[in-house]
Amino acid sequence: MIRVEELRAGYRAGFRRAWREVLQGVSFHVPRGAIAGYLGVNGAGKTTTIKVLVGVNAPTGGRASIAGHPVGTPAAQRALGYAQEAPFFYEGLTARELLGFYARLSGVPRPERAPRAEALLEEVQLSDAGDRPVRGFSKGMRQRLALAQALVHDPELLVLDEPLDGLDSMGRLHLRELIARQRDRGRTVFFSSHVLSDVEAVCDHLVVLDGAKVAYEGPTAGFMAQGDLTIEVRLAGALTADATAALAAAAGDPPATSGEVHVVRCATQAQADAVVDAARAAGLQVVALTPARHSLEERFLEAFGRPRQAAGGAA
Amino acid sequence: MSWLGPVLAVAGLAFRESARNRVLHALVGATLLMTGASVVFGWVSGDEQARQLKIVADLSLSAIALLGTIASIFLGTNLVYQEVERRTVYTVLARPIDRGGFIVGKYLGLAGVMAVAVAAMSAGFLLVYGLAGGRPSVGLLVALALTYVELAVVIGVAVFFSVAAHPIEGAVFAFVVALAGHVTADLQRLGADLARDASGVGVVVLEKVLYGAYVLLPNLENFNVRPHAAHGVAIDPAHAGLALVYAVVYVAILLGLATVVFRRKVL
Repeated sequence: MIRVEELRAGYRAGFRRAWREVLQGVSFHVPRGAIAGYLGVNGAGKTTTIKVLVGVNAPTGGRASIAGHPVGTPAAQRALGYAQEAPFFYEGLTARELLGFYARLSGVPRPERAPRAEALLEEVQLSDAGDRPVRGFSKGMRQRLALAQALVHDPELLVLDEPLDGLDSMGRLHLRELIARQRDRGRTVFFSSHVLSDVEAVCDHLVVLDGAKVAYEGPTAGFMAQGDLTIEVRLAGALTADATAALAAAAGDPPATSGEVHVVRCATQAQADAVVDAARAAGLQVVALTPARHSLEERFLEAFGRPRQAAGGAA
Repeated sequence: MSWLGPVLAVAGLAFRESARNRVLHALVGATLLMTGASVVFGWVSGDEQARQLKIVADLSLSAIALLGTIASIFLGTNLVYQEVERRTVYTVLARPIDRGGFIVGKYLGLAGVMAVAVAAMSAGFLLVYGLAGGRPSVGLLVALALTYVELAVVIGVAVFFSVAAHPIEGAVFAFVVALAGHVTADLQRLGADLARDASGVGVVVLEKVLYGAYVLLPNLENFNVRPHAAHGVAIDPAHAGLALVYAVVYVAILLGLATVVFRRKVL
């Protein structure tokens, strides 16, 4: 659905409007039907990529296409719906008027505009606020309206820039459900977010930017599987000095002991096997073997975690 | 026709947003007040009715042109800049409309609002003129129409500066252009006189600069038939037609330049 090859793009910044090329040959592919998360630290170029994909800015090099159409062409733009970070609207218009405007802008035939706006307001739970000017909307209402305007022409692809930014728990949950529902309708979703727990909850595909290049691209499960797996071996019984030495030799670290309960953390399956063998030889009881997988946030920090913030922000 | 729909959508929104602007309402109200006041000025002058009507026409037509120019510049120089500043432009440009279409749509929306504003101001003037005992002539109607065409050119200038400059700088530049646009012939004449009466590199450069200003700046005097209409002097239809063609070409060039500048911007 999205194909990006050696993409280069940037923006002007500062008083002297100096050119900063934040994307230096970015390549990735998002398969049709995926919900793909786009991750990277602040300034990595996520928003710059999205602006190129939706046709707001032109790339300075490389190629990108949406549903087989080069980005920026009317065919590519008809295939996608876009909601920007911290959505801005024409404040004096009502939600219904806004959806009508975006529908007309997208070429939706006149008879279809009102029913479609109505259905979308219903879907994002804004029916009651449909005739109120947008200037009085809360952040959550704005994010939902942003999603509605992106869907108004029934696109194949949704491109969302930080759609969960600044929402409370309920707002995030609601929006996550809305995003997940799009997959059931056959849409592809590509979104950037710095709320990695949400990305982990809804995304089946990840593209991770690091140092102006793509550092990982593929299934979310694949990214998580690359992380360090910790296996916790819980033992019970009296611990002798010889047994402590044998466990430390097997795991690399001595066990953490509390009374007659001992916990050994192993970095690999082989270490865990050796610890179990050593424990049995010392007459200890193996109470539990617990694999502890990292969260996406931990995995992200582990992979790119020179001490930095988690992904987020505009670039 | 597929490109026209989005352009008209942008135009419709620009119309709606500009029409709600309170500054525009205030300026239209001020023009109507000045039109009403012109009757008092005419009456105070103590002249015969025909001269009083000339005063009413002169003052009212000038007020429409002046306050219309202020409104066009005020609204026009904010038109595109504000969209970029508020970031509302992103969700628009992510649709099947290119930046040129966006500029044209914004221009058409404001031109439409100013057409309604000029129509309202003209209706007020013609009503007052009629109540004062005058009979609106074709000349007055042509003068009003050409005043609107003049404003359409000023809107083009304002939209260009809305893309190329900050609204405050843009408003200053647009006002300078609107003022200079009424004296372009004088600028050219001044340059020619200087070249005839003096010599030196400085004079040659100044003459070229003044000639350049004459060529590049819009000649807004082409549209100023207000004194003729107020004094009952017939207006040549050919002049009005050529002025209209000149306005269309000039605005097309301005919008083309605005599009080139806008396309070069990284948003």
